[in-house]
Amino acid sequence: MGYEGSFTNTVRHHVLAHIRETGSREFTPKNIVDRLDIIREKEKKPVYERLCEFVRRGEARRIETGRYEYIGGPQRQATKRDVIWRFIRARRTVTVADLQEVSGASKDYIRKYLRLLVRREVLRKNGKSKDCSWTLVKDAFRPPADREDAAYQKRMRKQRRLKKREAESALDAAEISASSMLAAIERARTALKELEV
Amino acid sequence: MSKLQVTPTFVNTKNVRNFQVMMDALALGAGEGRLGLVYGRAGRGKTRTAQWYHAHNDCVFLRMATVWRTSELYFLQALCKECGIAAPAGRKGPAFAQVVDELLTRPRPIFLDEIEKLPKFFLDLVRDISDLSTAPVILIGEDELHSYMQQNRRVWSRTYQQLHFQPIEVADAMVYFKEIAGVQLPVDAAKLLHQNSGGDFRIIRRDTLSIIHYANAKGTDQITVDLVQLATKSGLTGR
Repeated sequence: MGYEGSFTNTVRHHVLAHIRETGSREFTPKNIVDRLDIIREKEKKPVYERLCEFVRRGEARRIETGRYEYIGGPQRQATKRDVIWRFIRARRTVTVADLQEVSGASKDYIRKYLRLLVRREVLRKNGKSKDCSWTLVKDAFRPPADREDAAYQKRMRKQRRLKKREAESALDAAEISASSMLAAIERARTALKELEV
Repeated sequence: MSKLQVTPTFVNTKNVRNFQVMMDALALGAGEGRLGLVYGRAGRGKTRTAQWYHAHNDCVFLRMATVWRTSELYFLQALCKECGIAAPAGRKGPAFAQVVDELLTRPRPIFLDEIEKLPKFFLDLVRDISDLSTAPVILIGEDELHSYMQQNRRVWSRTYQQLHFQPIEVADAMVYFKEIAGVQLPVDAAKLLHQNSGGDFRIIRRDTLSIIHYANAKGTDQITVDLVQLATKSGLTGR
């Protein structure tokens, strides 16, 4: 969707504000350019480019030249956590088996996530058995942020970066040795030819 | 012989596939208000399918509560919350505007379950929301929902898609058993399981668990007609 301060997002905000004001999903590039107070042709070009980008992504549709319809933001692929969270919100009381059925995640992963939600006081565990149910006690549109998971993901990203760097340097070294080997073979061939002559 | 394990899995039955086709067809009419209707007897998996679809896609799911009968405000406030509005307005008009604004900005399908419990004027409210926000609204309910919607001409003319949840088929029961238990159910046994359920998915689910339980108690992974008969009978008597 583009990061918050990007120009793409600025254009998107103005498109959405225009839709809210007019109550129609149709807009023209001029509507957006006027909202941005742009006069010079040169400055209008990036706006047109962003609108073309929206059409390419399926976020907007070109009805005819100079007339667009905003369809909506590109849908992000739902993660297993998204699926689990949405299902909990829809049913209010769930079991691990329910969540396993809907999300396809493993029991351990689901239990770990449910325990996190209990720690954040969003869920309540009913009973102590493995097959007990879990009830939503604090409803929120978005799930609470998982700082532990964020830190873990950061660590993993760092490790992946390091591994990639190591692999690249190993590949470079291999390439160098291979090329020196090829050069040595070539030298040997030339020497053999010289001997034959 | 290893014990049969229960692996909870969501099975794409014929009804689920039809549901997905219906959602795709509704998406084609983007830009105008439209309604969808999903109806059928209890126990055929309507709500479960809608919740599964909602969990995997960016949608709004709301189960209607009987206490909202007297006032639209509670319904609108609940809808606001489901749409992600943190502070819903305390009056009908502003709450309605909040919902429309939100859906206009981020249009997504809205599932309203068991709407037939509420008075008929709720249908007009739903029609208004769909018309103004251009978001598709899918109404889910039992058989009477069909006539309930047909009586309101304006609502019926906006109903682009309708789906009747059919009884579960023998093939669906076989696939479900295979996915859950990991072993193939013989055709005769599947027919018996299907016959005893009357096409009710909930009963098939209950009897499947019962069959696995009996098979494990007998120490076998060969599912026979006798075993199915025994398991389904004990299920119906409540064991």
